[in-house]
Amino acid sequence: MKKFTLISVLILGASMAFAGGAKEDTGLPWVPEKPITIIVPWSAGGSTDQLTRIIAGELEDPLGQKIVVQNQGGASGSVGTQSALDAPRDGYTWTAGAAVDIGVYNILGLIDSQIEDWDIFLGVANVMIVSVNPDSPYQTFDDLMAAFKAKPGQISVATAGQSSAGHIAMEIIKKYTGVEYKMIPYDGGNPAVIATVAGEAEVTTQMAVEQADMLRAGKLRPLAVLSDADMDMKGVGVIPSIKKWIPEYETGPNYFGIWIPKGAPKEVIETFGILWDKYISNSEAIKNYAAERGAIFTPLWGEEAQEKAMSYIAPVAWLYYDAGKAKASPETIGIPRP
Amino acid sequence: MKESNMPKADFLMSIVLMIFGISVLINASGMPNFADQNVSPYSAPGVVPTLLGAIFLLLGMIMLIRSILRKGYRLGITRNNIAAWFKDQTTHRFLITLGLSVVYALILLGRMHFLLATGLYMFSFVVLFEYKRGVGLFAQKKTLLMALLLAVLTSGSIYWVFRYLFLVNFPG
Amino acid sequence: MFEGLRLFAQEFMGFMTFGTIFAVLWATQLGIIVGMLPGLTATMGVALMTTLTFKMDAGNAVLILVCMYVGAIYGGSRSAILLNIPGTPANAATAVDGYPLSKQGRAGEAIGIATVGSFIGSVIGMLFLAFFTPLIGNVALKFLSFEFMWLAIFGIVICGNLTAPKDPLKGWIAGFLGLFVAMIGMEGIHAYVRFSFGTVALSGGIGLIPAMVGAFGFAELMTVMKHPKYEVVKTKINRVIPRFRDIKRYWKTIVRSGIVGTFIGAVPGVGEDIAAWVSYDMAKRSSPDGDKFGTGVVEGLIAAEAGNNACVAGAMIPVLSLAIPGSAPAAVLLAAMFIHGIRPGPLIMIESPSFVYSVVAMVMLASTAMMVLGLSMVRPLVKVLMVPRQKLMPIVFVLCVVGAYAITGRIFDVGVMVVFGVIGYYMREMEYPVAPLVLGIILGDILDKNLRRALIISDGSILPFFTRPISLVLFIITLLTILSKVSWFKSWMGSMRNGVVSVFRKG
Repeated sequence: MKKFTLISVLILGASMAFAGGAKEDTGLPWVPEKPITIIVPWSAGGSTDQLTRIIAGELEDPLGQKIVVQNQGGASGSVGTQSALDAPRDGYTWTAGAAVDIGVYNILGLIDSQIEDWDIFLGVANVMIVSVNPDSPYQTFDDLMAAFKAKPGQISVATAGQSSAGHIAMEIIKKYTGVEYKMIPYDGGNPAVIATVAGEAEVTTQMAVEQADMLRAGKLRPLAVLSDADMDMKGVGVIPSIKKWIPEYETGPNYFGIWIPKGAPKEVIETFGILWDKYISNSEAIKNYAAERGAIFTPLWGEEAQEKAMSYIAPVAWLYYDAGKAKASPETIGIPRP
Repeated sequence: MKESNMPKADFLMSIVLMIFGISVLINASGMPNFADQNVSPYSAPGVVPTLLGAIFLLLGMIMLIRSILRKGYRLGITRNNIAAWFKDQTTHRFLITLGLSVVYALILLGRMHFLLATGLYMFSFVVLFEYKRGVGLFAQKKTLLMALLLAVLTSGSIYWVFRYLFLVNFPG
Repeated sequence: MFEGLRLFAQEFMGFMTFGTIFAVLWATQLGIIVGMLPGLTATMGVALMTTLTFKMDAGNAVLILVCMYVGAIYGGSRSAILLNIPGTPANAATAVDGYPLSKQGRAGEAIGIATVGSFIGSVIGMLFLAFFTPLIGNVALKFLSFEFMWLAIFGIVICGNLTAPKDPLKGWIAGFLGLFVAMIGMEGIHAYVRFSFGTVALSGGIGLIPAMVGAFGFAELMTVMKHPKYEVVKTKINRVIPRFRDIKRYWKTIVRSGIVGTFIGAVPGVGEDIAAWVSYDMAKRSSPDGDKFGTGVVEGLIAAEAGNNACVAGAMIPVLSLAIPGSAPAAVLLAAMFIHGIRPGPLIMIESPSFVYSVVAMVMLASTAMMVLGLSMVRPLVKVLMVPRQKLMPIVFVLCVVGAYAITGRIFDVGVMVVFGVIGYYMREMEYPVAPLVLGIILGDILDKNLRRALIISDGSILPFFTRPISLVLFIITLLTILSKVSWFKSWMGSMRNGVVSVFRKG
C-alpha cells in the first residue's frame, strides 16, 4: 500500500506541475479563479457547438483561464438552457445557441426564459437553406412546392426540433405559401442533416453552416436560401434566394452567440465586453468559419446585440403565435406585433 | 439470500412490479399529446412509457404465475425471523457501511469542506471496522495512526487529481 | 491499397520522435488509470483531455485523445477483473469471467490475457479502419429510426439473457426498468417533463454516470463489506505474459470478436458496451465450454476485451467517413477534431486522405503503448487486492462520490448514486443482474426518440418495423434471443429437431 501511495503521489506531483499554473495577470476587471463552463444545449457537431468551440478557443488566452464546452442536448435546447439558469450566478456558467431560442422558450411553454433575462454576446448570424436528398425527384424549389401542395402533410422535413432554425424556416415558408408538412424532430442540426442524407427525411431546412459539408460532397441538393440575396458557397456554387419564388419574403438572419443569465457580477459582463471589442471583433478564426460555411460575421454585445436579436425574435414569436404553436401571446412578455 | 427464500422474494416483487406497471400506465395516459400544437400525435411523450408500463405488467404476471407454482406465497414472516436478522453480524456490517456512506455523501458533503468531510469519513470507516472491542484505546494507537494517515493522504490526493487535473469544482 | 500502406508508413514514421512517444506513453497510462477508476468513463476522460490539450497543435492533440480513449476502454478491464467493478460500462462483460478468474487466484493471468486480447482486438479494428473507412460509411447510413428502435430492444434482451443465464426473466425486468429510468425527466421532443412528480432536480433526469457508479460501485462495496470474513483473493502472479498457445488456441474467438466489435462500433450510437456483450455472447455460443462461461473462462474474458477494444477503432470509422460518432467517446473525439480545425466527413478521403491514415497510425501507437504498459505494470496494480477492504472500500466510495459529482457538478447526482447503490444492492440480493439496468438507462433515450420518430415518419403504422430489411433481421434475432430462453420453445425445437432427424433416418 505504501509503495502504491508513493507512486500515486509521484504521479500527482507530475500532474500538478502539468495542470496547475500560476494565475496570469490579464489586466481585465474580472480574473476567473477556476475554469468557465459553456453549456452547448445541442449535440456535438451542430452549428451552436461549432461556433461555441471557436469562441471558447479565442477567449481562453486573453481570459487566462480554461473554458470547458459541455454538450447537453435535448428538448430543443431547453434542457441545457435550464441548467444554465439553475447554476449559481457567479459568472462561471454560460450557455450558447441561437438568440431566438432563449427569446421564445416561454412563449412556446418550454421553459421560463426571455431575451431580457440574459446578457448576450453574439458571434455570427446564420441563414437557412432548403435542401433535399439528391435521390429525391425535386430539382427546383417549384418542384418541392408542387409536391407539398399535392401531398399536404406528407412530405417529411428534418429539423432540430420545436423552435429550431429548421422549424422556423419551415413555418416562415408555410406562412407565405400555406403548405402543410410533416416535421421529423432530431437532437440537433447535424443529426437532422444526416437523416436527410440517409433518406429518412426528404427535406431539411437547417442552417447553411450545418449543411455545408454535405452540400459540398454532393450528398444534399440545395434548392433555395432563406435570405434576401443569393448565396455563393465555396465548392457548392450559387444557391438562389427564396425571393425568386416568394418576393415578399422578409426576415432577418438568425443570430448566434454565447450568453449568461442576468445577475452575474458586473465585472464579468464588463470583462466579456472588453474581450468582444478587442478580440472577437478581430478574430480570424471566426471570420474564416463564417466565410467557409455561409454565415455572416456579427460580433455584437450589450444593447446593440439585444436590438439585433429582437429583430428576429419578434417576427418568429408572432409566427408561432399565429400558427397556434404558442402557449402565450408574445405581448405578455413585451414583444409587440411588428 | 437463501435459495429457498427466492420464490417468496419473487412473489413479492411480481406484485410490486405489476402495481408499478399499472401506475406507469395511469401516469402515461395523463400525458398530453400536443395535438393542439398541430404536431403528429405519435410524437406524444406518453407513447414509450405506455409500452413500458404494459411490458412491466406482462413480466410481473409471468413472474407471479411462476412464483405461485413454486409456492412463493407462503411468506412465513415471523417475529423470530426479523429478530434474527437484526442480530446477525452481516446485518450490522451492512448497516454500518450504508450508514457511514449515507452520512458522508448526503449530509456532510456540501456542508463542510470536501477535504474535511472525506478525511472524517475515511478515518471513521477504517477505525469502526478495525477497532477491537475490549482492547484499550492506547494499545490500538497504531490502527488509529494508520487510519489518520490514510485519511489525510487519500483525501488530499483525490482532491488534487480532480481539482487540478480533471477540473472538478468540489462542493463545500 | 498500396497507396494507403504508403501513407500509413509515412504517418507512422512521422510520429517516431521522442516527444511524441513520450506523449503516447503518458496519455495511454493516464487513460488506463481513468478507465480503472470506477465512475470515470472513457467519455469523460476524452472530454476532459480535450480541454487540457486545447493549446497543442491538431495532430498531437488528437493523438493524445486517441491514446486516452484506447487506454480507458482497456483500463476498465483492470477494475472489472480485480474488483468486479467495471471501470467503464464497456467492461461489464469483462467482469463476468474476469472476476471469477481473479477469485481463483489467476488475476495476473487474467490481466495478461485481457491485455493481449485488447491489443489484438484493437489491431483488427485498426485494419478495418484503414481499409473500410470509405466503404462502411454506406452501411452505417442504412440504420435509421426503425433500426435504432430494434437495436435498443435487442440490446436489452441480449444483455438480460447474458447476465442472468439462470433466470433471464429477471435480466429483462432489470433492462426494462433501466429503460424506464431513462424516461424520467424532460423528454427530447416536446420538452415535456415525465415522472418528476413536481421536483426540479428530477426534471433534469437521472444521470447515467451517477446511476452506474451507484449500481456497480456502491452496491458492490456494501456486498463486500457485509460478509464477516472476506474471502481474501489469493493472487499468485506467476506469469502475466500469456502463453502463446493460449492465444493460438483462442485465435478464432479473438478474430471473430474483433470483427464483431468493429462492426458494432461502426453502427452510430452503439458503443463499446454492446460490442463487448455481443462478442461475449457469440463466443459463448460457439465455445465447447459455453455452459461454463461466467465461472472464470479465459475465452469469455478474451472475447469481451477483444470486442470492446476493436469497437474503439470501429467507432472512428463513421467519425472519419461521415462525421457521425459511432459511440459516446467518439462523439467527443469528433468535437475535438472540429475544434482543431479538422473536418472529418464525406470529403475527408478527397481533402486530406493522409489524416485517415494518421488516425490509423495513432490507434496503432496507442494499442502498442497499451500492451507494453498493460503487461509491465501489473504487479503494483494487482496489489490493490491485497489492501484490506476496510481501507480500500472507503477510497472506492469517495471515488464513486466524486465521479458522480464530477459530470454535472450537482450534489443531487451524489444522491442518485447512493439511491442506485441501495437499489443495486437489493437487486443483487434477489439475483437481478445490474448490467441490463445500466444498459437500459443508456438505450432508453434511443428507444424513446427513435420509436416516436419512426411512428411520425410512418404515420403511426408499425408495419415498417417488420418490413424494412434490416429491421426484419433485427426483429427476428430479438425474437429468437427471447425464445431461446423460453422452456416450451426449447422443448418444441428439440422435438422438431428429433422429428426431422428421425424422418431422415427413416428415409
